[in-house]
Amino acid sequence: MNELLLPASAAKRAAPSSWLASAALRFFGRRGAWAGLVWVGVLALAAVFSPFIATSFPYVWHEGGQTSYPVLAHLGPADVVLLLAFLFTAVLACFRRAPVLPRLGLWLWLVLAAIPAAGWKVWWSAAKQQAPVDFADGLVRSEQMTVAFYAGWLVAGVVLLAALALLFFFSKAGRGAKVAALAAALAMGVFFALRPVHPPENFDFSHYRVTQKAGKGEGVFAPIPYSPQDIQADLGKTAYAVPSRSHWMGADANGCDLASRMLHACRVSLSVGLISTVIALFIGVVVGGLMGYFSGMADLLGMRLVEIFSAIPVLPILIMICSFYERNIYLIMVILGLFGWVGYAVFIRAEFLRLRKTDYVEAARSVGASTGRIMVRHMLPSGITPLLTLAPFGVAGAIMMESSLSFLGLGLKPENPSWGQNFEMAVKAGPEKWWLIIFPCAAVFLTVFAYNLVGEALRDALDPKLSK
Amino acid sequence: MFSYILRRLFLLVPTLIGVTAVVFFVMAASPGGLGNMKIRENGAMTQGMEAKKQIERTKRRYRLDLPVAAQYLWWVNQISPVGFNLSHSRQWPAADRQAVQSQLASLPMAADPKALDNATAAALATAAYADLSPREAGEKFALALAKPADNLALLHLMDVKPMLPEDEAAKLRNIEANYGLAEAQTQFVAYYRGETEGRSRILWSSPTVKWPDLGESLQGRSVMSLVSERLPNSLLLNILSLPLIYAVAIVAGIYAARRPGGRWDVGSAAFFMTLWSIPTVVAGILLQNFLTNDKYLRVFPSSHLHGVGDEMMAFLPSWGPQGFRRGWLMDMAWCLLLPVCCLVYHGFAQLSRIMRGAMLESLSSDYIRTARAKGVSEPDLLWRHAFRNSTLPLITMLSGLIPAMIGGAVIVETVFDIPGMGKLMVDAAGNKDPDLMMASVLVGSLIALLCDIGRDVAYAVADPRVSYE
Repeated sequence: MNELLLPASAAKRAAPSSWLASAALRFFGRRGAWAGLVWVGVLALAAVFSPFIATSFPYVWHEGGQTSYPVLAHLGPADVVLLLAFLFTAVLACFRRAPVLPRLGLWLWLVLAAIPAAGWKVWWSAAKQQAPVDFADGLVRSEQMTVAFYAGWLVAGVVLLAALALLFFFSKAGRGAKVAALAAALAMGVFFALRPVHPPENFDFSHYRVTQKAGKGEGVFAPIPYSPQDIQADLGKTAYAVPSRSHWMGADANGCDLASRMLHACRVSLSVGLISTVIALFIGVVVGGLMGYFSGMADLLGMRLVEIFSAIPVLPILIMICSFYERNIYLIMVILGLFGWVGYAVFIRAEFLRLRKTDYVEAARSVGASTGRIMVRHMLPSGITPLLTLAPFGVAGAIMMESSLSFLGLGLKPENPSWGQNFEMAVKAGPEKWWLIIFPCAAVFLTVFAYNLVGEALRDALDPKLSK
Repeated sequence: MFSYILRRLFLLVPTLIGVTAVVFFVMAASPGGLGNMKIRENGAMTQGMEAKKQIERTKRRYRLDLPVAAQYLWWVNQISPVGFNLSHSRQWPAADRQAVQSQLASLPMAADPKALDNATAAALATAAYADLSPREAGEKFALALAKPADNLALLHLMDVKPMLPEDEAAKLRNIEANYGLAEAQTQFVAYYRGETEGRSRILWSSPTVKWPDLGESLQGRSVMSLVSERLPNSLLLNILSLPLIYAVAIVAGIYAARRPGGRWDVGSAAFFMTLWSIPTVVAGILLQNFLTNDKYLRVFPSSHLHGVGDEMMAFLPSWGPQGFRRGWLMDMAWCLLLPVCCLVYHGFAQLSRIMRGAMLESLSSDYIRTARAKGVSEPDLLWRHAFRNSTLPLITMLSGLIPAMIGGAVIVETVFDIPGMGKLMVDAAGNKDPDLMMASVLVGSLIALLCDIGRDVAYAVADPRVSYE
């Protein structure tokens, strides 16, 4: 069945050398999976290049005989990190000879080095600006900020650990390549620490438009010449503008351009799904692995933990946390991860229970391999692959959760656009504002659908038994 | 079987304790802890002394002066059906109440029966807290009320240190001079009750089986009554949805398994997969926006469980002189149609896939070939032979569906404005109401756990080979 669906190009290639490669071939042979991947790729591109496609700042600006590049000046640390990540992807994709996993490890190292380096100064000053809230009795102190702060670091930490695992446990790269990766990361860190990204703090979105209209300056504007936070006060009343040539998807309640907001929101949707799934996978693998390997008492205790966390309904506890804590994207990621690991843990537990009795694990034990080595280097690689088939569904679920939360008004603050915010706005605005409903609904649906398609294809490819 | 259910219910306890711990500590770790909203409110409302007093009261109410672990144990004691009584909820026999009242009756303030009642309540609360007999407490109160301004130390009985006692005493003295002793006594009692409000102690001497106390909402209603009011609506939605999901998924799955790879198989899989990818929010908003509005199509009512004037409707639909009347039952069905649609479609994909897999396995087994060979008709073969042997995985799915539906119900109830548990939860989040929020999460968890037990029991019933004894 699957062979029939393979495209001709796949059939022409050399016979796959490993099970993983053959699974991948079968996976990419599916048209549905391709469509899903293409959509996710489009979103990823939109996430990376949104500050260039939709921005109020012109690319090039002439004023008083001087030329400037406002769009570059207004790039924030997140924009820079994403652009760098894209650049590394492009560069590393050129080394087609090198094995995939070391390349992936190298890529993660580089990106991780870029994150704190680019964000350092901005993060630091933001943390200092946010004065701790001190009520009459001093009960509410700096926790307001620290929770979000720790959540951010937790996300970074988990991603770092995942990268470490990828680099050291899975890669067959020599020590030289690892040292080179480390050196490159360090160099980049030093570069950014010396020249941190800091966009201007006080600015006016309409400045360039107004100046151009007055004939004092001239510039080249983006195809969508509005930043997502631009309320366009200079253009008259733009709140709830109907879709037209100037506003492709209309405008929202604040008068911000909806197309621009939708484009910038790709970033939130993609990152929420991916990072929360990585966190959930990490916790699930650790807990499930320990349960399966040691069984007995560890299994009993772990199962209680699994029972507790599977009994607590995710959306209600998310609502509880998002309403009582500060609203923050990192916190949402962490919470989605913390309450989403149960399925993975149960899966990997069963896998480890089976694997610990196999001959090759017994053999490894008999030659004196340490417990950690057996678990991580021998059992994990074969235990984790079926788990990866579950991950796309996890991503899709996380995206749904985020949009539900935003609909309830508990998601991100309006400064950071997200698709779900428009739902809340649309319900408040009334039925006539169809553009506030149709476009975000379509975006969320298509993304979830894309991930589900990828997941289905991956499941078929990796585990033909399950698909029956 | 019975002993198995009992054992499972018993094993529920440690899990529930774990759930309470997660819920409580998540809440307690939030900025400002349990008193967050109250304190904010008070901080915004007043300044100075009055704000400080309010904050003291809030702290007492949520036991914020205790360490977090003690707060947790206190809360668990409060919500568990087996535990210790609290002093503020101690009930006194009518005779004790009468005795105290007669002790206080000679005071000038007793002319006003309401003031006397208040004083009696304060005395009895003190007796419960300080472990005095009602007579002793009454005596102390009678003595103190004779000279209210000099006896603010009475508050020490309840372990309360009055803030700025001199000011308070001066105020009382002033009232006594200008308005008379009765007014000063009334003020004293009011002050006493205000300061000791929420002050309670665990009565270790009386472990009891009690009705769980889920606390009080910020609006002052008991959470238990709110939950019992809202829960039936949510259960109604779920109970209507479950059979629908199963019916559609079973039929679709069976016919998909009949010709694997056929038109119906691929078509239904693709269709359900598409449905599965529609988030509940999206479906809810789209349906609500385009099917309930005059601007587009007004086919369904836009919200609530009943139409306007449902209390005047007949129960069943009728055809009278004024034409067709919907009646209460049909009106409700009409209102429930869209919400139920939003809740059900999500389950189709998974369930029909499972059904298909199980049916494929059954259909390829020997007894089906035998049945076919001996000439059993096709519907009989499918429904009586193969289907009955493929029901086990469907039961397993039950425990996964219900928690998902609890989550979905939050959205559906918010979109369609149905007063259920989900709406309660969202309102609690909006008001930042800690007791209500924790209670509703707990109730959701409890339902999920009970469904797990129900699943295992159903499994044992459906499959005689499974034995739990």
